[in-house]
Parts: sequence; structure tokens; C-alpha cells
Amino acid sequence: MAGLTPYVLVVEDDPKMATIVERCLQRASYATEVATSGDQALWAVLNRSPIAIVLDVMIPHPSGIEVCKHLRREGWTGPIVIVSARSSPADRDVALRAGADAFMAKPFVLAELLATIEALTSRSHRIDT
Amino acid sequence: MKVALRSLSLRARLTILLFVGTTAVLAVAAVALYLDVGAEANSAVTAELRVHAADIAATINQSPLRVNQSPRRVRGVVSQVINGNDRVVYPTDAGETPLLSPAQLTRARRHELIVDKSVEDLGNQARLLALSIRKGPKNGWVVIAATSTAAPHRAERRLLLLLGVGGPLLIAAITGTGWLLAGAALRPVRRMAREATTISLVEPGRRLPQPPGNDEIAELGRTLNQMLGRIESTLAHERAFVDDASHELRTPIAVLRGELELTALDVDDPEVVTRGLRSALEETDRLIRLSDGLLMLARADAGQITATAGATPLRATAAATTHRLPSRDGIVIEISGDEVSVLGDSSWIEEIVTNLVSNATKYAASNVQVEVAADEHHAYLRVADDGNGFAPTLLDRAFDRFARADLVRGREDGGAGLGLAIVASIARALGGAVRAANEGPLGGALVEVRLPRAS
Repeated sequence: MAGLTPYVLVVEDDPKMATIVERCLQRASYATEVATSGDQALWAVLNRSPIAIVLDVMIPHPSGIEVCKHLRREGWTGPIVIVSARSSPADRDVALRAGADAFMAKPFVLAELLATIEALTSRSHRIDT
Repeated sequence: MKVALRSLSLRARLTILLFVGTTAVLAVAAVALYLDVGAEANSAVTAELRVHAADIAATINQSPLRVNQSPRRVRGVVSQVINGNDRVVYPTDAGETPLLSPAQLTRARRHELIVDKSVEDLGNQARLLALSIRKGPKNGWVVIAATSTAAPHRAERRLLLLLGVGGPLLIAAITGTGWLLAGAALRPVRRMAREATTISLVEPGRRLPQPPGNDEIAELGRTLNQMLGRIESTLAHERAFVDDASHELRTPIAVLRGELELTALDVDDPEVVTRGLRSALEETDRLIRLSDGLLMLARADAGQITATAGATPLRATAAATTHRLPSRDGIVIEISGDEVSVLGDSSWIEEIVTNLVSNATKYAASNVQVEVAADEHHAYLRVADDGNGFAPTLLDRAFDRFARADLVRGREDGGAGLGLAIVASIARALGGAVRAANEGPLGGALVEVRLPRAS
């Protein structure tokens, strides 16, 4: 549970996949929260803004792409890493056009996911300060 | 010839057909008209000569002419009266020499004689008609009437000229009109063909321009657009299936990979290693189940599941299979009904029972009911639970592949959404059917499989 500390929101409907990502992030000292649907994700961001979002595309309503578009439309500027079981260039294009900062196809290397989040959050932090 | 025609456009072929048909019809009509007009003109000339000759013959018989008295003149017709000695009896414009030879006069005394020849004062084209007087004192005399046929011949030539010039012009006009009409009629088809070359599956929803009206071309447009809709729908369905299959295969692989990656970071911690290996095994089993399910569906699609493999006792198979399945704490499974045999190998029936009972057990609150029933031709396997039932949005596609019941029933123990799809595929392959409903006998979901009875 993230509590009041800055946290990374993991939006993933597969509990095992969510646990793996959480463990990876927690090893790097990130607090995490998990949302298993698009609605839960939007509610979580509204409730307390995360420092980054790891967002699966194929989640229950609305989809990860719709969540990403909605957040950008609402002015949320934090880093979004979209992870997807779909790996075609078109899927990557759709994700980036929706406002994602990075796209990673499953199965991905956890170290790479971590490095991406670290890079995006530090850049985001520099911009904020 | 046929091959050459096939290589032409439909418009060109229609025009050629119109040209050939018009030419044939007009040629026949022109020949018939020419022959009829010619025959009519000849017939009129001959009739006129016959009347005139008969008139002279009657005059001679009834009131003999005096010497030096000529027969009555008719404009444009000359005549001679020849006696039995082949001498001209009365002087006429035709002179003193008989217009016919002695042999012709002899023939004329036997029957009416018509001769076309050149006659002085009548020109090169003249017709002569000779009649003989067969009774009275002038018996054996011959009356000759002659007239020019130049005028009828000129009329025939004018008609020939008119047909020769006007006919081709008429054919050209009809063919040209046909070419323009065919072009106008086929313009919507060309527009549809041009549009069709630009339609691709990248832009779903694009359709051919629909010709207005309710004719054959408009019907063709509607039919093609409906076909495009069906193709799009099928492709969208297949794309969704591939997407789902990709997701369901990649996710456990991603979990497996992540688990091993995390475990490798803490390889000295026995607890982490044990947990990682256990999770890896579970994901491997998940992949095996998924590949088995996809394989089963592929076999059903390939027609490898048939009802010819013998008969299987449905209740006994349902009971044995249910007992082999892993139990879930607090869930009671009740089996009821009389024994009935169904067509199909026992392995297919076991697959149906396994998927239905596993599914019901997963979502039941406490009870699952497996009922076997039968009518004259069919056996029924009904599996009901006391869970929340299917979500209304899922009910219609409960048997679709990757229907993902977990989306509404909770993901924790959710499968890939292939179980009911496998049940439906096997049942249909065996000649049966499936049905899903809510508010079953236990208040939750009910799935019914109908299978043909073995005789």
C-alpha cells in the first residue's frame, strides 16, 4: 500500500503480472498501488496523483489507451508507460499518440521497465522544479 | 473469337452485339424490301399490258377494225395485231415488222408470252406481252402490247441507293447510340470498380458508392456493400481473436520471465527461489492449459471432431469426470438424471463436462448441479450454479472465444475465456447445440448442452 508517499500506479488486470511489477518497483524503493480496471485507475489518479503509471492496454473498461487519452485530456502530465501484449508498430503508434511516454511489449525485461520509469520520473521531477 | 471477345470490355461487347444484330436485321429487311418493290413494279407493268392487250383482243373480236384503222392508243403503250401469217394487220407506232420473232409468235399462240427486250421508241428496257385470240374469225391472231420498263428500273435503282447509303448510316447511328447507352448504364459499375481498388482493410467502414434506384446495378451495389460488411465483421472477429490469443499467451510468458528475473536477483534467498519456482510452474501450467485449449479449438475448426467415433454413456461419463476434477472447499456438486448414450467419443464428452463443471465450480457460491436428461432424439447435459450468473452484456457472447468471464466475475481465478468456447465447438461438431442462461435452478448461471442420442 502506498500510503501518503509518492507511488507508482500499476494498472494490470492479471494479478500475477501486477505482483511481479509491484515487486520489481518495490525493490527499487518505489511505493505502488494496483488498479485492475480502467475505472479503478482513473479513480486512483483522481484520488491521489501517482508519480508514474504502468498501464496495461487490455484491461476491463475502459481500455488502457482510453485511460491514457482521458488522463492527458484532463491535463495529467506525469509519466505513463504503456505495457501491452500487442507488439506491432501500429500498436506502439496508437499508444504513443494516446499520450504515453513509453511503450513496452510483453514479455518485457523488468530492469528495462525500471530504468524507463526512473528516467521518466527524474525528468518529470526536473521539469517540475 | 470467343477469347478475343472476352478480352473486350462489356460495353464493347454489348456494342458489337448490337452492331451485328442491327446489321443482320436491317440487311434482311433491305433485301426483302428491294425484292418486294421490284416484284410489285414488274407485276404492275405486266398487269397493265395484259389489260391493254385483252382490250384490243376484245375490240377486234366484237367490232372488227377496218383496214387502215389502228387499235386504240394508250399513253406509253404500243401495240401490234399479228394475223395467222405473222403479218402486222393494223398499222401502229411499232411499225410493220412484228415485235416478236416467228418462234415467239408460235409460243404466244399456245400461251401468254412475256418478253423483256429492246424496242424502238421504247428504249432499251421494254416489256412485251403477247396474247392470242383463240376463237372466232380471228383465231390464231396475236395481240402484242409493249411498254417501257425504264421508270420502274430507275425506281429500283433509287431504292437500292437509298438502302445502300441509308442502311449503314442507320446502323452507325444505332450502334453509336448503343455505345453511349451502354456507357451510361455501366458508369455506376465503373465508379464502384474504381472505388473498390482504393478500399482496404486499413480503413474499415468504407463502402462502394451506392447507385440510386432499385435496378440490377443498384442491387449489385447493395449486395457488394453487404458483402464488405460481412468480410469486415469476420476480419474484426478474427483480429480480436488473435489479439486475445496474443494477450493470453504473452501475459503468462511475461509473468514467467519476470518471476525468473526477480528470482535471479535474490538467488541466495531460499524463500524467494521457492516462491519464484512455484510461480513459474503455475504459469507453465497456465500456458499448457491455454495451448491445449487453442489446440482443441483448432481441431474442431479443422473438422477433426466427429460424431462417428461411437457412443458414450453421458451420465456415467459426467459422474466419473466430475469426481476426477479438483474440488473446491465448500462447493457441493450434485449429479442427477437417468443414463442416456450420446454420439461421440468419450474424450469429447469428458472435455465438455470438465469445462462446464470447472467453470460452474469456479463461480458457484456453494452448489453446482449436473443434470442429465433426454427426449426422443437428444440428450441434455445441464450444469447450473448458485453464483451471480452471467453479466447481461456477456450472456449473448458467452460461447465466444476469449469471452473473458473474469471481466465481470472477478479475475482472481479467471481463465482465458476458452472453456465455454471449447464446449460449444465440440457440441456443434457432434451435431448438438449449446445454450446459456441466468436464473437457473440454483438461481445462478445455467449452461445446457444438447447432443444427439445414440440409437
